[in-house]
Amino acid sequence: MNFTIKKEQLPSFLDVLAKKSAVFVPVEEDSGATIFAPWEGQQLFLEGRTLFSPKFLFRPSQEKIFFFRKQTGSYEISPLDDKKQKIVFGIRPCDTHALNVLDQLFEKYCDCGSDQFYTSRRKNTVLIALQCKGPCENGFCTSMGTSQPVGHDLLFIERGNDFFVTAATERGKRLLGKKFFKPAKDTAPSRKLECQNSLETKNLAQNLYSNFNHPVWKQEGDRCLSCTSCTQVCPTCYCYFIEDNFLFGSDKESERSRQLDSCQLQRFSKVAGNHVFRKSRAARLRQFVLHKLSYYQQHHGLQLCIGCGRCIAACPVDIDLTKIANEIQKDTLGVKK
Amino acid sequence: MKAPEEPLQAEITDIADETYDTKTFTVSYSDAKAQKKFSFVPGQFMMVSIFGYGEIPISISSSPYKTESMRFTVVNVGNVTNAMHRLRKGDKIGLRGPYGNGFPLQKFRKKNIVFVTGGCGLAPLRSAIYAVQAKQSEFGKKFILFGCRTPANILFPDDQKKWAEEGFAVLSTVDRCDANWKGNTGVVTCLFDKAELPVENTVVLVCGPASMMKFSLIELRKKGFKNTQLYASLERVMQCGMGFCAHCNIGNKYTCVHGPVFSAKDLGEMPVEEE
Amino acid sequence: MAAQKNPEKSRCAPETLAAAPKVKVGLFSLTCCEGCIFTILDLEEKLLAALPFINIVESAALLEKPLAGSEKLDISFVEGSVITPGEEGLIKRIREKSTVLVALGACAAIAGIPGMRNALPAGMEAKIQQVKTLAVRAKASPLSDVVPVDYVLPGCSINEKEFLLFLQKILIGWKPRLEDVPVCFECKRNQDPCLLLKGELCLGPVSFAGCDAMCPGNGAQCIGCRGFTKDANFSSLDALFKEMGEGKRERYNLFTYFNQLPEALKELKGEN
Repeated sequence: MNFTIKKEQLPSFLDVLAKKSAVFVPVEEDSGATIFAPWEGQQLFLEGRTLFSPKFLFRPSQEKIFFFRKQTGSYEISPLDDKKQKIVFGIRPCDTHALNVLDQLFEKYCDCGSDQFYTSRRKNTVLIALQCKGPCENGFCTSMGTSQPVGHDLLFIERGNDFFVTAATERGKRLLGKKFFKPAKDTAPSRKLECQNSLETKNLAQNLYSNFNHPVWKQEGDRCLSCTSCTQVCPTCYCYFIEDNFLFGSDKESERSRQLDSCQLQRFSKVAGNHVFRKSRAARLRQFVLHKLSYYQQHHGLQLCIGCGRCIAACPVDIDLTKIANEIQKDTLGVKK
Repeated sequence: MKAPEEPLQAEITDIADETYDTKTFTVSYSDAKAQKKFSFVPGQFMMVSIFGYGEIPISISSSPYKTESMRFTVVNVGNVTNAMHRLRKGDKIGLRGPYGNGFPLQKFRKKNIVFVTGGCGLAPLRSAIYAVQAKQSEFGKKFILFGCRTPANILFPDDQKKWAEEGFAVLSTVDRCDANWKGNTGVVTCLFDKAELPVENTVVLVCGPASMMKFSLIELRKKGFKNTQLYASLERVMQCGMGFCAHCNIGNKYTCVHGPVFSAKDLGEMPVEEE
Repeated sequence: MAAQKNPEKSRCAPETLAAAPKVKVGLFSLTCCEGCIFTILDLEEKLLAALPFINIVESAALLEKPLAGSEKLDISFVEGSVITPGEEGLIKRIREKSTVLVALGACAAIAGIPGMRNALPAGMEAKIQQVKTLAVRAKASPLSDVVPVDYVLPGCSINEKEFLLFLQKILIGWKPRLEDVPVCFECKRNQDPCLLLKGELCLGPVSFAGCDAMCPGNGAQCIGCRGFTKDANFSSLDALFKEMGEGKRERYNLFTYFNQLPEALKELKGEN
């Protein structure tokens, strides 16, 4: 069943939600950064996708996984948990796909067991997706088939003075109190996006993989600042390293944490004895692009890249993943782009 | 809540000095049940935690038929291994694993088997050598070619002596000799001629520093070995050991899941990151 | 105590720290604003929490004692650049009696602000010689130009958290390493917007992280006080600055604010 809610009632609806759960919404900060932040009645940013994705709500960039303390004869390992009920309002279709893609890795892939931190956060978070009004700059979700949401609980579609709301799950539907939501009399407005940016996906994973030594890698890599912005804003960059730390005066209690890493850094591939396996910028850039568009698909059947275009928007020197991939595709497929 | 990276505790029951910078630690899980359940394939590795310092991948260097404990042979090279070297008998460490594929020894039955090792590369291979030693009749001719920097770096001399007594052809060489050294001098590849390796029905397992493995494979191919006969165990950065953290990938392969043991055929199909 | 000779060997794990003998620490200042030592003093209760493990035996700022006595030290933290011949002798003496020498802050690590005197416009040097009141060396040098330095904690001033972490790590026998991570890594991790994209000159991509991207996070450009990473792509960043319409002189001034001009950008020098 479908519903509608008046636009001016949205803040009150979020207030109601915030009474029971932690609600996260897209906002534009004073600095100009667009991020997901806790709802505090502030102005919402609904113009397009945020530059920083909501991945941090599921995989924080710095995440303690347990404390340990030396006892006589053994260590006492105190586990941590995160079972907070969360609601993310305004997650874009591409970002719902990002979570879907990461689910393959953290929930299903490994026989060593799933990552309970991630799965628990996923389970305890309601996703209220917001359909895009139009294509965003740099985005190419229509090429990647990610312009319609997946795995969401509710879908909001903006139109005129109200939102058209579709419930995709029971727990989503339960949030639609009568006070704000009226049954919809019409059908869902169709929203077909036409992205300006595009990526030729035909045989993409294979073509990129077999063009490991294409000149485009060096050509673009030479300009790369190795600033890691692309990997930080990417909603599916998850690579991490593990670190131990302790604090003076904290009764000798130490912690182990996972920290978001970046393949654009030399340390990413550095082994004992300081040998770096991916030294050149070209090799590091290629690692990023191939992980997004080739390796992951070869392992999990899904492209890790979900076409949000954030890496392009965040790059200070205009390195464009779609340009690189299309260049190789053009040479391989012989298709004019 | 449990992260897949949470280790189980284990106790160091013995520490043996191998060389001036290498020690072998005998370790067993504090939980007897976990130790009883433990089994591994030679060539597999464990993620070893030194609490307060961090976690590193270390190959198991003990026999797969003696799993009441496990052994790690560790060179003091980095911060974590340095901390490990300062531990004492009875100290606790963290363990998880085993991870990786290991050597497909089943496939090698009835074949001649050659172990080519450089320096501490003998440690991961020792487990495989023990396995072959335990079932000698199942294999053909057996060779161990060992190279290291100086006579002071020679690893497991007692084992090497025993293997030689038990029918392995054991040859060793050092890069730089001292006055007392009477053996071979030069890199490990110079032993290939000396050993008169049979090419027919033979497999070669290589483990050592990256450049040593690269040149060993090149020389072995020159001798007529096919890529399907050659296996190498690789080293990469690993944070998780389970295919999560994505540090160890080479092309579309994860060293921790698809490796660390690769056939030269797999290696040939891998893209070369850099020259 | 013999164990104090080599603090790194006597330690085992964080838990055994309390049982280990206290590490003798010295804090020294050469030519600088002394901001780094004050950053340490500003740690207040956090510094007090570290005192069970360290013993500050020499410090002009803390203790009224003559400097650089003959007592051996486990770790010496030295801030400031080497500018006078006297300081050259002092840092050599400190090096001699210290097991571990740590360069503290931009001046000690990369010559920093005093290093500006190394690239003076023509004629300026002669003027300095006229008015100078004390003997100065021909160059303001980072410590590493004069003596071997074991560790560097860069920044103007140093980062509190990094200092504490360094202290913790070194006390447990860890050798901390300044990794080639740019300021941008922390800036983006904090979800701050890119100043370069806003058209501002920022040295984030070529400067060492560890400051939690404090400046860009507050809307101020990074001016490279923590020094340049070994992995820095200077030519690409300079090309970007040029594209943004910045003149040679502005670019030169920015790159040499705290740092010595990198080799890759030597053509910027000319007119200055």
